[in-house]
Amino acid sequence: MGRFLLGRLLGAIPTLLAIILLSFAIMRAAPGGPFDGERALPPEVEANLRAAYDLDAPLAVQLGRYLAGLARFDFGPSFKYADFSVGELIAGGAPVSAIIGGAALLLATVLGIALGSVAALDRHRALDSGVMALAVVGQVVPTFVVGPLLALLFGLWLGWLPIAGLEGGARAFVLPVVTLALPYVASIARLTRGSLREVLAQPFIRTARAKGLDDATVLWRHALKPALLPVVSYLGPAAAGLLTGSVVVETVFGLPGIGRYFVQGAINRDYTLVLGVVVLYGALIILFNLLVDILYGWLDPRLARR
Amino acid sequence: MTAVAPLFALRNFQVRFDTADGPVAAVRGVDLTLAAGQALAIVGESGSGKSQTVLGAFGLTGANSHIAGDIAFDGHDIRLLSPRQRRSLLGRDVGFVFQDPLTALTPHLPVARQISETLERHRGFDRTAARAAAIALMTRLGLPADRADAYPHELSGGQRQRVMIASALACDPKLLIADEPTTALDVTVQAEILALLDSLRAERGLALVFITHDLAVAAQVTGRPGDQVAVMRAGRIVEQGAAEALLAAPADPYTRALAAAARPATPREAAPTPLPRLVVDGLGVNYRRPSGWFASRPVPALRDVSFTAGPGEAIGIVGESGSGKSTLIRALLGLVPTCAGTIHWQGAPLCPPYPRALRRSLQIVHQDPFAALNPRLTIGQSLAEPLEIHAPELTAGDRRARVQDWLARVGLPASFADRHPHELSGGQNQRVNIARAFIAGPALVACDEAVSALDAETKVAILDLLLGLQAETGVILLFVTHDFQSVTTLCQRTIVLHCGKIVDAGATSALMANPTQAYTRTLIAAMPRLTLPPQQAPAKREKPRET
Amino acid sequence: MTMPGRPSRRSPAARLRRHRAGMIGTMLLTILAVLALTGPLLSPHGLDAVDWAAFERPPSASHIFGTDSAGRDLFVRLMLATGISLLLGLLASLVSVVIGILWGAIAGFAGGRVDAVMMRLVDILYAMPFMFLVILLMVVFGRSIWLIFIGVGAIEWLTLARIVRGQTMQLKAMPFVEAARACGASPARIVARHIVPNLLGVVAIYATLTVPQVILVESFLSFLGLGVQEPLTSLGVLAKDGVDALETAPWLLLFPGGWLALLLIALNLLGDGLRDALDPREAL
Repeated sequence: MGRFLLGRLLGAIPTLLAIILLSFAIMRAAPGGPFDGERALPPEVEANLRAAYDLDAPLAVQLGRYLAGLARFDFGPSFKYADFSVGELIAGGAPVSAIIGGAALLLATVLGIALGSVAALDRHRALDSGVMALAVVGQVVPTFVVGPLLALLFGLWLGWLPIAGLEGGARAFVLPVVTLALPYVASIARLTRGSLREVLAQPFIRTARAKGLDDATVLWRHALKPALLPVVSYLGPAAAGLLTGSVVVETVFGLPGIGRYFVQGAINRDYTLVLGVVVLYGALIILFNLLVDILYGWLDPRLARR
Repeated sequence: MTAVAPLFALRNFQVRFDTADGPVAAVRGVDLTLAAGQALAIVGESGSGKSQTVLGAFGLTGANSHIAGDIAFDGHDIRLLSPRQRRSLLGRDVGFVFQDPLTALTPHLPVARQISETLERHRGFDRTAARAAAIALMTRLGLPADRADAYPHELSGGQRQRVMIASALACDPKLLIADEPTTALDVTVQAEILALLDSLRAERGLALVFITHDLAVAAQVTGRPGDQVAVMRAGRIVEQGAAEALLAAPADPYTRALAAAARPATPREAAPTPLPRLVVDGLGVNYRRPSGWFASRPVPALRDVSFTAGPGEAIGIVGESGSGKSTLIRALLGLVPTCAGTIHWQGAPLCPPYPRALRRSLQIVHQDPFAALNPRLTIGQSLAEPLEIHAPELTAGDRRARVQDWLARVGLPASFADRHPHELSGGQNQRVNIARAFIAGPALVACDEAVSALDAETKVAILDLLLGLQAETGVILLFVTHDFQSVTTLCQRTIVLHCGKIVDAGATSALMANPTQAYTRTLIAAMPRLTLPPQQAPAKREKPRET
Repeated sequence: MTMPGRPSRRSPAARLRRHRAGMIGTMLLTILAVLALTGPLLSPHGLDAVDWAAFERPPSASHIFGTDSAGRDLFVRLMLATGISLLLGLLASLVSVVIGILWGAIAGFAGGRVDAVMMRLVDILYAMPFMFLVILLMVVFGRSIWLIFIGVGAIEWLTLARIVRGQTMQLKAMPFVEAARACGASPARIVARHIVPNLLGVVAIYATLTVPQVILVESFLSFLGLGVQEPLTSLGVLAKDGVDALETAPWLLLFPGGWLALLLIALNLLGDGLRDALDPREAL
């Protein structure tokens, strides 16, 4: 296990490096710089600024310094928020984004698996058809349509929940989390249903039934683990999608998370900030894929030693 | 039968499935009785309804099935029981052993757990006590106790089937139902499992329903007085009765055909050995097992294999799974790389990639008749392909004529040229595969378990076809199989492979009559067979009936 | 445990016709596509025509879906947007399908080291936060439809490459391919005659399922203001305008949002139908 983990962590390094290099290259290739303001700065001021932000060194040196900084978790200074480092900005937004993303992932997994199992086990097909029809719709309605509609319904018309900002404590997170989780609830429900149906047709399920076990035991002990394999492998891409989705949700609901910094940073050409977020998200996705691989081994012992 | 109330009885029992093509009757009115302690073997081909009969009786046929008729088990009328009551019988009073234990055991549970859960369910054992009992049972059935926490994929095929038997017997049931329990196993392992079942019957007074497609296996499990055999076809029992009497004098023509197919064949007489055309000397093959991203390490599959073959010879290559028998013909055909030794063909050494002319001479027939044909091509297109490659001078009309000719020679109607493989039966597709191998005029045809996926009757017909074609064309036949029966019919000489090495070789008749090597003796002894003297000589083998 | 299976003898096309959801998807898609093509021609309102008497009006007899804040007829704009979204989806899918098939088929057929290197690259790309890189590209190099293609194409071909590679490896191990090799068929012949025709089904399924993905990605970019630019429009652009006017004119979000959902549902149902029709285990 230790060797496996070490191997995977080492394997993640080229990926992360590729992400950093690519992002770094895009930004340095960009026409115009962060200090192209409304009016041109006096040349000596700009030169000073460039020196202060380390933009006058050769590219390779800049990259080297940036990488060295990253190794110390130093993302460099923000170009636009002059008083803050990128690390500070990210640290400020991280709790909000982490709560939304984590809660949405949890909700999507638990609710999705539950709904999918109910649909797969439904003998009369009515429940099955209902859940699956809802899932088809839920899967395709975009977050940026659902979010405002939910806000309109529950916030403005019914007045049950706050629709923007962090006022109202935990209640402020309900709509963003539900909005973000919805498509993933639908996808996971469909995946669970399909794979559970397939597993329930396997010979070993018949063996379990032939032992006189009741349906609940057959499902819980024999069927669920193998049925969850496709769901678990979907969690990798789903986590990446949730991160993207949180950009929309944070914008729609006006929440001060990392996603919103990203959009604003992109619009403001705050290169270091954008680069920092991309690197962070890349690292998160890699980490998540690693977790998925470990879960995989636990679900199916045949895949454990590879 | 006996005067005692039967343990298990079916009257006018029927099973019907709802399918996309409408309802399908799998079992159409079956009557069976089995007394305590007796054995009943149900024999039939795939699709005869033999498994559905027994699974249906205990409600294990799935949600799209419908059951009709009377089912009595141990004093209960099964149809009157609630699902809950029925479940409490399963695993406690009746135990099940299924085919292919790799897929029939739950992959993610340790094996001891799969045995002990029955005890927890029906006997109220706590987890520790159930585990101890499970391990004790494993030991009794010849499984090492230190494998208790192994997963099914970590055990051998025979060990897995012992686990299945242990979990079926954990609660000491009155009836054991075994559904083709040895079909996925090698013959030597099959012999061990059959012996184990027999000793368990004696020890526990267990009644046994044994489902099989092989009449010889059925004969083996019904060796005690009172045991019965029932032969099923197309959802009905065609013949049924006391095992010994039925097997000695089968009355129904279908049973007679099955018996003929299962009886030891008269060995093909050894021809004077012709001048060898194929000379294999010291052949070795390694498989590369990947380790790491880019590296791989060699694993020996064949070592130091030498033999020769000449025109008109049929050579049997016999071995169990993993013996390297399929690898051998793939190496000869240049489909896998060799690592040692030489192959000479007509005096010239062979080394891949083979030139086109050589490809024309060496052909292969595969085991699975469906998988060996491209599903997107018509039969005619598949048959024309060797001609397109090796006889480009032929016109389309010539090719069509040649295809029609070969369809006729393998006993298929000309209209099949426009059909697709999924419209044909397994036996018919295998005839197409044979025609494809012969159509371009080869000098050697290698058959890789070419009759193993076929039903008994079809198997006999395909062997006849191969014999006839060899007599006409004089090709060398290399016949790879795990089954001595077909080798005896077809091959003058036989090579026995074990773990990648030739352990025995010689004339088939001599090898069968008095094997000198220990491994050959084991293999031959493990082969189930009908040893009863033929009552009336099975006059003429009936033409195969194919659906 | 169903009836021990024998493959259905119906052709995939006949099986698709028996697939209820698949047929609903096909019909819905046809209707939406025909409306998108003919709608602007049938309507009395021009694409950019401003109705000075009706700014941000709810649906009425003259403007069946209402008008936007600039007084333009929403129905006509919606049909235009549907057409553009669909076109973008088809083109970007085509690009990623072509790349995905080539990459996957080459890796699967070559095997060994070539395969290891090619699939390792796919693994690396898979772990990249591509949406963010695309946004970055948009911001840095300006908003262009070509960047949408590149960005979306770069994300969507990965899955198809993996699937095609797996299928190719499976097919390569099939006895009928070995029979062709033993018969002396050239690699080109094997690929053209035995492998590619058997891959087409899978490719059709995933191509169909890629289109809605692409449309969704485009609408997401448009929502952030980074997608299709005026005077052209797409369903994402209309939805974004709708969100901005949500409190005063909810129909401006409801119609484009609903239309987008209908389009995506139709494509997904068709993809599911194709998948079931080509899976012999599925009873149809």
